[in-house]
Amino acid sequence: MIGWLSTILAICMGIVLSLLILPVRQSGRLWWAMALGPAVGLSLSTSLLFFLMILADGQPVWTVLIEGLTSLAVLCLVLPRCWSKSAMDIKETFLSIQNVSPTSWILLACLSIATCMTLVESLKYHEIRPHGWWDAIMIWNVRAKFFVNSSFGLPHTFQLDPIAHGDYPLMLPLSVSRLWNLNGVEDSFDPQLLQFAFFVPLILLLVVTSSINGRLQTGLLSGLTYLSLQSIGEQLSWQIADIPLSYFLLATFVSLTQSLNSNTNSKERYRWLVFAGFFAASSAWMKNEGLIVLAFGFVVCPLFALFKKSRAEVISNTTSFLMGAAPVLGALLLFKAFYAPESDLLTTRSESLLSLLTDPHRHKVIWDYVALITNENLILSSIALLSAAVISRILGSRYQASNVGVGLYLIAGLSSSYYLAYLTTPHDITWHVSTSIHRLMVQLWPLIVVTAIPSGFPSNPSLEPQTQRHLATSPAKTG
Amino acid sequence: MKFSPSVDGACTRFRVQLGNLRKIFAEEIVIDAFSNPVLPCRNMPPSPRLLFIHTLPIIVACLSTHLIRTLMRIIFSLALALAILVVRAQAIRKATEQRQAGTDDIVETYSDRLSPLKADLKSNVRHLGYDQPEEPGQPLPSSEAWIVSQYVLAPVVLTRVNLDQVTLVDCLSPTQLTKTLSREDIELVKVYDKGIVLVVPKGDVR
Repeated sequence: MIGWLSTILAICMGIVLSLLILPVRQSGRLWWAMALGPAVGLSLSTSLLFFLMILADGQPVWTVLIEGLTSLAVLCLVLPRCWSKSAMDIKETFLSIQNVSPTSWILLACLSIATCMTLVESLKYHEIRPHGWWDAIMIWNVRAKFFVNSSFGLPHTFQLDPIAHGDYPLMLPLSVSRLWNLNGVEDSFDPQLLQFAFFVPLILLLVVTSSINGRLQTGLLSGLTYLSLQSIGEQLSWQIADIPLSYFLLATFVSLTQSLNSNTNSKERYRWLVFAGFFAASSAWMKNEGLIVLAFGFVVCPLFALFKKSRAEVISNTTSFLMGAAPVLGALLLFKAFYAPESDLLTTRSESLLSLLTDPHRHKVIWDYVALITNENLILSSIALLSAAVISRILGSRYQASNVGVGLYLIAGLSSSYYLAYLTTPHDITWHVSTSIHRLMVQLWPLIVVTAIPSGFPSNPSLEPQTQRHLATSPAKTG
Repeated sequence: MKFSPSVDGACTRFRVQLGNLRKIFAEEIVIDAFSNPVLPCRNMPPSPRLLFIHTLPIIVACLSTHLIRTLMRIIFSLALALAILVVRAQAIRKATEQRQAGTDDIVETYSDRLSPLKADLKSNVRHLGYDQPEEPGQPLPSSEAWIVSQYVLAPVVLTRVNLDQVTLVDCLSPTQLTKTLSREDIELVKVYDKGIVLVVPKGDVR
């Protein structure tokens, strides 16, 4: 019980922090904070927990002084700058229910039912395998067990033989171990409930993102389209890290595009870049795949400014992104530098890299599995995605060049990185692809949905100020 | 209000023509008159009835476009929502079926799985010196043993055993274990190189 109270406290703190950092005039601020806050709280609290563990482990104080205090200093720098009298004013950000169309109400009901059905489905899967798949135990929860009962010391913990992928980051094990430790019971249901803390905000984030720039109906359709992926319930129960990672990928994308759509040099832009940095670092703190997103953010932020031919912005954009990333990045760097063993993907291979990359058999294996997953999982979802895109166009929504551009670059970057990792894997390629390609689809699916469904205003400049004012008072009321 | 001579002439011609034709074609000619650019003629105000008749198709067209668009929007949206609810319902059904099948599967094949595993132990398992179960309450001396002790409470059963690739198949929950297996019933506890723990019970777990 105490474990859950502490987790709920972390989530509430995350919501308050999000309200502080969100632009004051951002429409629908409360909904944004509800969608972003839980992940902010969980990520930040686990990184601080890791600093405390390092202190308890007796590591040299200078490491903590440099990394931990830098993170705290950044937080102290960011938060006062974000504070304003209206920062916590949320009275105008509630959904104005009298202006929601009947169709939107029905869609909202359908989305709620579909979400509940997915949760029920995952509970059923939990009954079949309470401890999840191999990864759930051997990568994530075994480490949580060590954190709870450990008398071995941190460095030894990650080098232990029974722990697979000792280099994987710690956000999830630390969240689970906090629950187990404070509750006094190692309940296999706890990791599952943590997934729900990411899954529900993920759907809310999809709805808010698509509604804020267009119509509520478009947002609801985005949420429903996300749920058209059949394997979500199974992944939610048996693979405990991929839904949170997909959340962080989406949140990074949303923050980057919101900052790109803000006025140049405006405070809104920098606030969204702080979020982008935080979520990019959090995705790397969740799983190693998130390192690609972090690198993407560091490349894209200066590029935003360079495209607009503003050299001064290069520094300010990068600084904002770095400030957002710092609290979590500090913990990640400490872990990677002092504790994590070498990644299994970097171990010496028997064949040369060139021969691995040019081996047609390896390419064929990957494409065979892509075709398989398309047949099994993606046909229905693709039809749903196409339908939602057409309906949104009928509703009058338009594609925004910045959203589509960032989305496509991010999806292409992640997909090509996965492809390269498969080609050069030191493990048996068939085993590697067959055991992970479903999860990659789950990770990328929210990004695909939000990129493919148009959610922008018509490009009539005379309409925009009026619509913006309209949305500023009632965030998601158009139907 | 004076029109230019050409317009006046056209109006005059139109009025004469209209007067002649009205007798024959009654209202049809008026429709032509409305489409004629010289319509704003002084003595030719359109009657409300004719205006209505003429603009009706336009009104219908506008209404139908808006109606069709709205209907399409509503029907497509609801159809999509319904389809996704069906997808989720099917997924729940699949999970329910799998739960029933899976539970039976564990009970039925548990013993069968153990036989090949026992044979496999000799070649593939890294021996850690815990062939026999410990006395209850006795502390286990090493980290690996600690893992074993944890998983004795939630044992793991393997089907495919290979040192390079190990697939975890089943985990029994602590509740199930309490009901089906006690420490005295454990024949063998092994830890694989990849950290998978195999708990081999004595006899049939049922």
